[in-house]
Amino acid sequence: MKGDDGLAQGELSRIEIISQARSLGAEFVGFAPVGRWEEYGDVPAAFHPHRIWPPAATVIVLGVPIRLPFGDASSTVLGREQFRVTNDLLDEAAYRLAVWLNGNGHQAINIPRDSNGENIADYKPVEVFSHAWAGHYAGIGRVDRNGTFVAGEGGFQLNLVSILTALPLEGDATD
Amino acid sequence: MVRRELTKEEIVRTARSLGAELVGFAPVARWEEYGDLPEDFYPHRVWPLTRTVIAMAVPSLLPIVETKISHLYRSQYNNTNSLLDEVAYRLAAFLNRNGHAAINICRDGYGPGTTREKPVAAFAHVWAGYYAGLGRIGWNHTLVTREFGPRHRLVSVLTALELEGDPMVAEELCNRCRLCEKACPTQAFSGKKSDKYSHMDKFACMSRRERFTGPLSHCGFCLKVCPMGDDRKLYQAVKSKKYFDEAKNPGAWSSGVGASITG
Repeated sequence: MKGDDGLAQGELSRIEIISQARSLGAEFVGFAPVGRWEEYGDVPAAFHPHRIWPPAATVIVLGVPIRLPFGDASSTVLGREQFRVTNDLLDEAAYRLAVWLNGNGHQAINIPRDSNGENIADYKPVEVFSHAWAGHYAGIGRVDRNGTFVAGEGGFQLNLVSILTALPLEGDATD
Repeated sequence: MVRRELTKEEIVRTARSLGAELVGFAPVARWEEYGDLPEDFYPHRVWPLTRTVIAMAVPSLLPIVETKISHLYRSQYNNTNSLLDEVAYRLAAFLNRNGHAAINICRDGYGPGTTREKPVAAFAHVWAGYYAGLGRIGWNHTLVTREFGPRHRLVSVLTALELEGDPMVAEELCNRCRLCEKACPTQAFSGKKSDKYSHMDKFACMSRRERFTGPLSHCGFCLKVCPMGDDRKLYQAVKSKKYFDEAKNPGAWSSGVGASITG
């Protein structure tokens, strides 16, 4: 179906988006309406998703676990490679989910895993967007008092990435 | 090895499931018929078994191309290149598994570090995209598509499988507005209005890329100013004047992701 502007239009449900995200490799998928950033006020206003990108109505957060045996491995290269593999997987999944949303007529962009930028953190250690707080507001886990993102009863570690979309979607329950 | 006949539809479906957004087919005869390139760079000279080139593209998302925060664009650039290389490699493996010789030509046909001493790519994905009907080549040497204008990245698979070519795009998609020439921070494009394509100073363009390190050093200006592409309607970004205002005063940057982040 094509809309007045010639673009494909298709209603999408949360279930369809979750199914698509999981087929791309995400293990965890959560939805956070942008109003939660204002409601809770944990993050400076300049870094709220709809300040970063005004069309944003919902943040879709994808997560994959960092497997504990790798976090514990005495051979650090295994842990480092697990980090790289999961980062690459998340960046590809987020990009493809954004393109898929666009293909269905809904504005979307992905924020890459590394929103600091290589070699930039030394002189300006500010991320464009906090995936951890997005995961917190999307009900995937919680940001601890020490700023670490943990999920589940055991507090396991997840790697996260975010997609901002103009599509309004119901948010997931938070802790 | 079992040889199984494959239809274009099956190949397109496989390519799209791997992540390609645009997929087109170009018989090698088109390189000879149009004669735009030196013969050494025809696909069947690069790899003699080639009968068809499968050209594929994924979009560069406009709000990321527009951003003043260069590492977001650099990240998208790297991620889309990796995705395309994976798609092309896996599509070639799929063709081989079905008994049809195929190879992928990697995104980077130059090879790292070789551009300044010998700025010649092994294979032109842009011309393959043109002959495969994905779009038309514009003033600034990019492939202009209906869907994304020039905001996309391309890759190619060469195969011995003979497949019908897709219709080439007949209408001109570049309107020669030359906003790309005006916006280029390195003045890489020049030429007369009557020229089919601009003269492009690759070394000037490269000089910008070589300084690609800080938050305001990103480029992609020739891509973001292009008025063509359905993506402009999707992202409701149809005016280009703001780009020129931002270039004069980066403090007043208003387009793309993170424009409100200052300091």
